[in-house]
Amino acid sequence: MYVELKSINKNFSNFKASDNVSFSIKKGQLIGLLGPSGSGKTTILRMIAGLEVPDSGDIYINGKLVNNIPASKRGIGFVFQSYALFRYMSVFDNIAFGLKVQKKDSLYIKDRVNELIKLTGLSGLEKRRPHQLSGGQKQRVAFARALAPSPHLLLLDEPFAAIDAKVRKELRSWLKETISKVGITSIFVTHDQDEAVEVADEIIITNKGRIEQVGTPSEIYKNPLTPFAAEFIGESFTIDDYWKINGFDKAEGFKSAVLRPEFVHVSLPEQEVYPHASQRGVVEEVSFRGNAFELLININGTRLASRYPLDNKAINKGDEVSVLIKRLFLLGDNNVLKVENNLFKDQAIFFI
Amino acid sequence: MREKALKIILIFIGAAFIVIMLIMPLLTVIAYALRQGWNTFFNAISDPYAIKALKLTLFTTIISLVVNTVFGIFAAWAITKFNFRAKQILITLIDIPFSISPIIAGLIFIVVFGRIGWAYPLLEALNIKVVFAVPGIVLATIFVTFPFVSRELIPLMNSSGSDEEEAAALMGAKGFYIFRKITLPHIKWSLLYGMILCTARALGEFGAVSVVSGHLRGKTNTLPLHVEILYSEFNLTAAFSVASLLVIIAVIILILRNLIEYRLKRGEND
Repeated sequence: MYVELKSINKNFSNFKASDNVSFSIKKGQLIGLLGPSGSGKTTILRMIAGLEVPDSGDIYINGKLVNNIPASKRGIGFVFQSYALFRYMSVFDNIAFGLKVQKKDSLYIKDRVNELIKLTGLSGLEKRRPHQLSGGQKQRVAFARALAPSPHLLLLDEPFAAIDAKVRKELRSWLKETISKVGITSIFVTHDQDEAVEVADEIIITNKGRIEQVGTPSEIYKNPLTPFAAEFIGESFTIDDYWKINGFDKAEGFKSAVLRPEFVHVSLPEQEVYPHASQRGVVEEVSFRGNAFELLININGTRLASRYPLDNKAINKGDEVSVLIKRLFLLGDNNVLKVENNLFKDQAIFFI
Repeated sequence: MREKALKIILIFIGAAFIVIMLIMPLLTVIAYALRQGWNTFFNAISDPYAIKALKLTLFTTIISLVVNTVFGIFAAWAITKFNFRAKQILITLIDIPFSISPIIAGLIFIVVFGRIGWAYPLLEALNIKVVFAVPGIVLATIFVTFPFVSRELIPLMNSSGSDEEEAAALMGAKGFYIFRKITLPHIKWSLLYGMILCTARALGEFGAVSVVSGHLRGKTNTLPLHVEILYSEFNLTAAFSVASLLVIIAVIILILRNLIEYRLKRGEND
């Protein structure tokens, strides 16, 4: 394990920022620390960097206990949310800073900085000051500056938060590509699940200072382990009286359920295929979502959302539709149960 | 039309106020100083007591400036880059000299270091004279001028946060190197501005210094005190001549101040 956190606790006066946090990261991976704001993800990052000191617990990097090693000696590259570029230095001097501190000779510094400028596509901007750069360019400079002293570990705090939506997507794939090219173990913090799913090899979900789940994006998406993970990841819709839906029984200890749009199949009443497993609902709202319609359907008082393909026969507000729900995530106090529609299964076997 | 009239009236009132309250008195000082010709003027300012007073004033100002610059940077750094419990209390303490009358500031030193003060026996044993001597004057001036530099720096350093310093520290840079390379370029104009305000105040300080000085001619007389002595001796021409020296220094400082303010504004637009 390359980075390992063991029962880390951290309080800020009365606020519990880290509550017994433990996880470990393999070498060469790109990890996304995902959670809502205030969930303690940035604190974890800052403690790994050495900018905050945990109240208790141990942090290991490359097998070495780093609790008492100051931030400057941990060999970590850090990209700040605000980029924190040195505003009175040119792009070149920003990137060269870490190397100058290490007293490398000027020829080596020049080569290394030019190499990074090429890698980050900043050629021609060497002499510019930070305020003359766009958000995306600033981020590239911050990235190059963090990589210049060849750190073993790269930490990125909300690397895309300050960039407008259009450039963000482009930058995401660029960052993922570049990090894998450099081959450096990296951890980035984000509150945006799309970003985490798209960029990270593995996601660590944080909530209220605790780790909720660790896994690959698809693992977490398919098998959420905690109610928080089920609701936070994916496009999810929470319903309370799930037992009123055909094919699902009330399970002891599970008070509500999460459904994803792909669990719901909507059809016109005359095209209904599995009547026993389905029920009728009334369409309350139809909104265009680019690649599909989003329907808001009311089933005897229970509201849920679903996707409806554009090329199917049009559905309007007030229409009656047949709704088949194939699967639900039932939410307990601290666990999640994945259940299939039992009538749909039985019928499927009967018909085949 | 009415708005234009209002604008003219307001400008006129403002200008008239400044002319009557500031420019006329200053011109009067210089005119009065030169009333009996240049010779009398030069005699007054080249009087040995006047020169000693000028030297003492400059000495006091330079020490106060150095001490308060160092202290101001330390205080601003501590307040803006670290989190600690007594932060708000420290900020309030720094402001005390602004809110306290200079006379009281002087009396504080008499009460502490004077014959009735608790520190007097100790100073006596060490053979150090504070009150009615130069150290007292320097202390009083430092006390009165100490918020200027830190007050100028704190808002600026607060708004810029400590991300850049943290970034530099993560790359292995040490404290002083970070200050020199990252913090100083950012604060230099504000720092100079604070230093100029501090200088102006230290040069002209009267109240606190008057209490601790003892008015010993040639020993503990600063320029403002010297003016006061000449004035109370009805030696008006000499008093105004020496005062005009202070006016000239003040005007030079004012020009410097405006130059730096101009640089500050340009820095913001950069």
